[in-house]
Amino acid sequence: MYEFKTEPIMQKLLKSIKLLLLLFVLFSAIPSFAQQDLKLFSGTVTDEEGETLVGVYVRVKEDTKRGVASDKDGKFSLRAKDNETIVFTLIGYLQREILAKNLGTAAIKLKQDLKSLQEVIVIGYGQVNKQDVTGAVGQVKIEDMTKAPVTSFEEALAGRIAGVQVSSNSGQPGDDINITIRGGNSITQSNAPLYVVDGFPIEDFNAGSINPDDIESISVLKDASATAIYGTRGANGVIILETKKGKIGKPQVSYNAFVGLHQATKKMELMSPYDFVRYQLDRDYNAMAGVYLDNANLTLEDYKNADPIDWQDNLFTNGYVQNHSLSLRGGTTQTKYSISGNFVDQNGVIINSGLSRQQFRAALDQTINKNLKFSLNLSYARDKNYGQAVASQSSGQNAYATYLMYRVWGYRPLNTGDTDLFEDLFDEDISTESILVMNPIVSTKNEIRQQTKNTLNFNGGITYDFLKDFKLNIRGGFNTRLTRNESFNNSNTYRGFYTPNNLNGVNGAVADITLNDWVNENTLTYKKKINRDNAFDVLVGATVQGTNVNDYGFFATNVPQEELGLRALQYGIPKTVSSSSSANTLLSFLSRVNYNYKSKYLFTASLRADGSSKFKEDNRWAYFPSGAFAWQLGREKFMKSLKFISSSKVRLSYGITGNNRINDFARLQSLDILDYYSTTGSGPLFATLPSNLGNDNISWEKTSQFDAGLELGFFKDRVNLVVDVYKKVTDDLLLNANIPTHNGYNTIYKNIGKIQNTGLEFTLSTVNVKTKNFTWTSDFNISFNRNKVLELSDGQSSLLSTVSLTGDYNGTSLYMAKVGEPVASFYGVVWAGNYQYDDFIKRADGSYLLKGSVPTNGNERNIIQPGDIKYVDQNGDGVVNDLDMVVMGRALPVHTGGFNNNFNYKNFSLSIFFQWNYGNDIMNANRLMLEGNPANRPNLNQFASYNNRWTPENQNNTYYKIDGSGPRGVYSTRTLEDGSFLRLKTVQLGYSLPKKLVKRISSLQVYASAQNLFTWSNYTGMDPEVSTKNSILTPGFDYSAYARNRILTMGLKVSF
Amino acid sequence: MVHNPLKTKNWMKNIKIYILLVTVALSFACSKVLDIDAGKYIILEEDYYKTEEQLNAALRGTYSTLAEGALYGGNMLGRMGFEADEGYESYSSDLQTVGDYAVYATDAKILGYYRMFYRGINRANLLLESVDDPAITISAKERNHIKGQALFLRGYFHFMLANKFGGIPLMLKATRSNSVTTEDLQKPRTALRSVYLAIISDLETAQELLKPMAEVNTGTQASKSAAWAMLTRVCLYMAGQPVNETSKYAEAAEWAKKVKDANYHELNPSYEKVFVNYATDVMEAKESIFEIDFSGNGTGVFASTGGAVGRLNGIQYPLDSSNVGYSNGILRSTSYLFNLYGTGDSRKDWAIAPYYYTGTPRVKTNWTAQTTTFARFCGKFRRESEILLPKSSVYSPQNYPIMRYADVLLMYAEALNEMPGGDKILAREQINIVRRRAIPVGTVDREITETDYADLKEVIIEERARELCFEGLRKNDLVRWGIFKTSMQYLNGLVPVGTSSYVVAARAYYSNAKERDVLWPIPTSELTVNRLLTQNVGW
Repeated sequence: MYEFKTEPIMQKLLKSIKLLLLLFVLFSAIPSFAQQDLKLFSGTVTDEEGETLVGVYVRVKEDTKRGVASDKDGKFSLRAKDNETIVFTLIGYLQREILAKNLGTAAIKLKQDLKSLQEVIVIGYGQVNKQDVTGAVGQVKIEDMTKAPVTSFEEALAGRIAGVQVSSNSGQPGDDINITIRGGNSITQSNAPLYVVDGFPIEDFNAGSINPDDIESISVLKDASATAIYGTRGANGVIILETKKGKIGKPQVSYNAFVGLHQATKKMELMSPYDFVRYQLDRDYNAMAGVYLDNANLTLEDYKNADPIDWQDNLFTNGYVQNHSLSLRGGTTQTKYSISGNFVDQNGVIINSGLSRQQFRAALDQTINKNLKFSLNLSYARDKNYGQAVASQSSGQNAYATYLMYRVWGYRPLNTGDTDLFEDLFDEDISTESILVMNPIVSTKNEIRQQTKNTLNFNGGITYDFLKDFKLNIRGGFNTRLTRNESFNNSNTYRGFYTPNNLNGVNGAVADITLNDWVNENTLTYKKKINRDNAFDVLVGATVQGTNVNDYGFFATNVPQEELGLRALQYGIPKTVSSSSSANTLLSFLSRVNYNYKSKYLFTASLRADGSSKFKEDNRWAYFPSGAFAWQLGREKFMKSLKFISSSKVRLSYGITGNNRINDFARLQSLDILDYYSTTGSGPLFATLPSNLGNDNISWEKTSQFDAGLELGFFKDRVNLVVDVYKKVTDDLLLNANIPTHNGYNTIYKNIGKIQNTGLEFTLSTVNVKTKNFTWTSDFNISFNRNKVLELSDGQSSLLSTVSLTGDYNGTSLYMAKVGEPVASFYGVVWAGNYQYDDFIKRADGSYLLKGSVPTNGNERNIIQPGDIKYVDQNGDGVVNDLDMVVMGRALPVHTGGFNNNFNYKNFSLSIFFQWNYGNDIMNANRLMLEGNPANRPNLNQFASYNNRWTPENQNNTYYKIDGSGPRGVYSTRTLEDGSFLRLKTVQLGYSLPKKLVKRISSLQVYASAQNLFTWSNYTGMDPEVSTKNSILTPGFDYSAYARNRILTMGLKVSF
Repeated sequence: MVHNPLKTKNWMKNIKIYILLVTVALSFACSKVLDIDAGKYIILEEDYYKTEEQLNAALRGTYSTLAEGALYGGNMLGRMGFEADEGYESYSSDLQTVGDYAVYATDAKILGYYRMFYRGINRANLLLESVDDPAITISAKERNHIKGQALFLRGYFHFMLANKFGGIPLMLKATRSNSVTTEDLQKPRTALRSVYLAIISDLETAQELLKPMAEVNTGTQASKSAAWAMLTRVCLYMAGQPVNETSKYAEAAEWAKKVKDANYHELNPSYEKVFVNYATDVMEAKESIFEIDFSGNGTGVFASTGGAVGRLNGIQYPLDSSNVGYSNGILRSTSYLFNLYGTGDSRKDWAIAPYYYTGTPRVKTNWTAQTTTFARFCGKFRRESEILLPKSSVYSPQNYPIMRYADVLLMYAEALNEMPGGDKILAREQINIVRRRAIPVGTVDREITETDYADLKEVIIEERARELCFEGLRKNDLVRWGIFKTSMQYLNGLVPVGTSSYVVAARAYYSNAKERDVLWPIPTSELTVNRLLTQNVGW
């Protein structure tokens, strides 16, 4: 049963918060008691419509020490002299000043500040009003995003912003989520965007360290004008994330919590016991009759009544999640603070997997004097994910058979003996101690796989305003992350069971990776308005950043006292001890000028110079310029006549950005001690081998991007349309290029090759209905990205890629990047069904010989039989082999997008969000192994679809006959499927309790939501959002993926 | 505003503060911050090869090339078609690969072979370019020995490439990062004859520098004997097809004679014991002139020093928990080889195992007579011989021979027979030395009597199969004798009818072999990145 294990913690937290509140009240109360000769004034603050305003900061202008905040009923009282001025301040409202004696008894009404409604957008090293943006910047609607109750914000990002593609490799808790902005630029290097968290640029960001509830805003910088300010790290796009800070007003405590249930969205349909036994008898009657028909009178028909075992039911489980966030935020004009904590505990949908997180964050903004401000952010997170890596092999031998889902799907669906199949490690009825019949459920339960990340981040700075228009900002930050990977395989696990295949026996490993990252940033801004029409905004800055990574670990085998788990590693035999260390630094100078004429013509120019330790001294510096122009058409007189167009803007931008994601020392020729060898006849000694050729001439790759955008608002901005078209050309690709291997190395980092991404993005936001009680708004976005290889290394015309699956397949290319084509296309042979009797000559002895005119499938002609798999012989040479491989499918979608609808009726809100991918194919490699059993392994279960296999009685072109799989290591169109999908991703129904009902608290909302509720797709595998061997060259491969989760949650948001 | 002197003062003050702050900030940011001493994080090539120990570690790295999975650590043990008429590969995973002569220029094993030997050449070159550094404290003798070994290995690696691909890019200089341009990286093929001359030159220098075997005392390290023996082999290959430089026969005889004249080498009285020694890590330098070292079973620190000798090319033994030792049993013999052995030849039942295993628990069963001559497994490398326990199903500790004294004797005989005016009696005697060890006293035909050129040639062709089968030499022998195609065709006729998987495999192996298979194709991926390369005839 499910229980809140955390109650004591929560109680303690609440107690501490109460204590803090008490302290705060005392602190703010002290000064007001000091003044005795003052009158007490009290009143109520409301907005123009009479709704009470909570948290309005009310103070005496003449004495900044006297100030209070309006309470939950909008009421306040403070002491003042009659002729003192009372100031009312609330974010989003115009400040109001009233002489104390004039206060009266009527409610004090504050007007909404229309300027503040003009959204401010955070960009690199600054922020601008939305209307003044000159580049392509996507804003995540945080309110919508947080409707998906997820523990990591990346999970909820998919489909929210045009041009931002978010996909998870498999859906495993804690698994990597890939974010690609406007298509991948880099063929062999990382395509991950740069994250800037509270101004701290982080290349390798741990999204698990941040609570989605703490996020104030997310801006996605897409075009070069926006990203060029990040220079050598800007080419993959930049995601700027700001956490919530304290706001002026009375202390506000918020508590958000949800509990949820995760379930696998789908199970594969497997053979029933009857079909399974029939299949086994068809396969090898003599051997299998001994297992299944050994009792007298037992017939195949009897298996129709056998109890089926679906091992998926034993593997998949209900994963419960609980998430609690508590925050305290508030502040005065002098001091703003924010403290928050978060606790998450989530069980995965696969037994013995899940994640947890404890997180704490604090932010302080303090005004020291009129000119000087100080700010500090501090956060600490400990996030842990655990569970077997479902989509990776457990052994290099027969690798395909060591993946978890293969073992679960393939495990015998019935019990024929006395073995307790659910408890015993082996199904002894069919074989003893063969690792291939080890119970995957027992093994999974016994495995320890866990990763714990401790992330600590300090980030602080001062802002100094001087000479009216100047502002100097000096900031520093330090980020440290300790990642600990632990694994332990006891004797009841796949990797720990002692066999001649695994002399390691019980084993385990621990590895610690420490990443330290520090930054210092100094910027000077100058803002000036010359008469009413000309506004300048100039930024110059210098920054320096350094990163240092240390990696230490060990692996021990043959561990006794396995009951102690990881603790027992000390007693084992050390096998490998690893240690490595690396460092890099980056020194940069940056500048940007914004000029705006009458708010009609907006110009931006920026330049960044980056020097990186990764490159040789004389080519270490690079310069990244950009320019943008925006024209507020809507402000021109001629547009005023078009009444239905309420706003319009045209944007043009061009700029150059870079990517420097290579190893810190990739340029240097190096050696490593990587082997042992004996030349004496006695024990081996260490051997030194060349490890990296290096290339002193390498430099960053450069992406130049042109972007044209159009922003239109119709009908008083009830309909907003943003259209962007872009063309990105990445040159001097930082390619780990193949070289002639007679040089002794396979690859070298070179700046070579060229790739292009062109695209079109539409974002449409509409207010469909707006009445007093009911509103309906929609957000729709769709993006089209095409990528094309323009040039590869040294005139190479194509680049083939393989994925590592299992011996036979590892050498077979499945993907091709060809000049003039997308960077990844599926490559293989075309499936042509099965050989039928017509294709054969019947010989006198009754056997069949393939006609000379019919091409072979790659096997010897004389062994091919009716019912065997058949492929298309493209070149007509009579044999299907490597020469007959063609491009067989698209690996990248034609378009992707999202569609969100928000409905509000009185206190109810409903949000429905769809997300889709269209036009990509997926290689469903599960079917290679489980829809035909090419290795013809005995007692291996198959997908139910294989019941429809070719037999003399059932001659068809769908599934080849038993043992008719043709040559091994062939990928064909047979298992290539359409991966398009439309997903009902998030539905949330919320209800805010009316204020009258809930006394003493300012808001209370309850909601129920569902995630991944329904998916429309023709894909026959578990889920079409899959890429278990993900890289830009090898997307869309599915083998033994972690099941996608359907998540049902109930939550509560309360603040007081 | 600016007229106010007080304000001006503030101006000045502010500027001062600003300058101060920026100076502080930039003091961090001086460009020194970009100079990271990489030598503190990785082993830089330029900092290495500075001590005797470092030279030796680099030398071991060069040797370890041989033990790689792409070479003798795996693929070369029966998966690449080296057995030709004496045996064939029967392993379902290798269907449609070089393993059954379905050779394509995209074959992964051929690419691995090409890459790995060149990687070894580069390792040798880096070492050779530093070994003479006078700053290294090392005795002249040790320095010479290290240099000699590196040259020996570089020569052998080039030789193994040349006898499979023909003319190849000749790499006598290390590839270095500071000279990397496209032009440097691409290289055309050097004519095969010139490659052979370069190999001979390396080996000749090596034989001067190396220590004699009497001092080295192990086949796992190159010695004068190893260099002489290898020179014999290289000269024979060069004298045969396709170079046909027949003057090299005489040179081959001279080098072989040097091995004999060292007065150190002799055959182990027991043929079987030679291979049991390989399986038990017993160094027997008198017979085993050069061998590859494999150690351990994959446990402990030496995780990757084990090999696959016996695991791939042994007697098939299914996986179970007994300590016989797992083997794929991928190599089976042919009736040709089976029938070559005369009565009493002790080599027959060792080289071709007369038994197999079936059932649970495993039962050892003897093969029956003639019909099974295509079914017998290679028995030279038996997991049963190993004494290291527990036995791993992945790694075996057995060493693998590259040069045995028996081979030197047979090569000596061949060189004498082929060279103008060679001593045929002396040639015959070499063959008989080899035969006497294998065939007991009193057996009919224990010694051969032929002294005629053609007869001797025939005997040598057969004797090499009897003595050296499954040691990776046969295909090269057939090629240099110019009888590869005819031999493979002949064997194709011997494959029995049937549908057993091994019969199907044998039929594929022998019917797939074509004239063009005397050489392998240059790997496609090399052609795409090295446009100066040309493809071999027929591909």
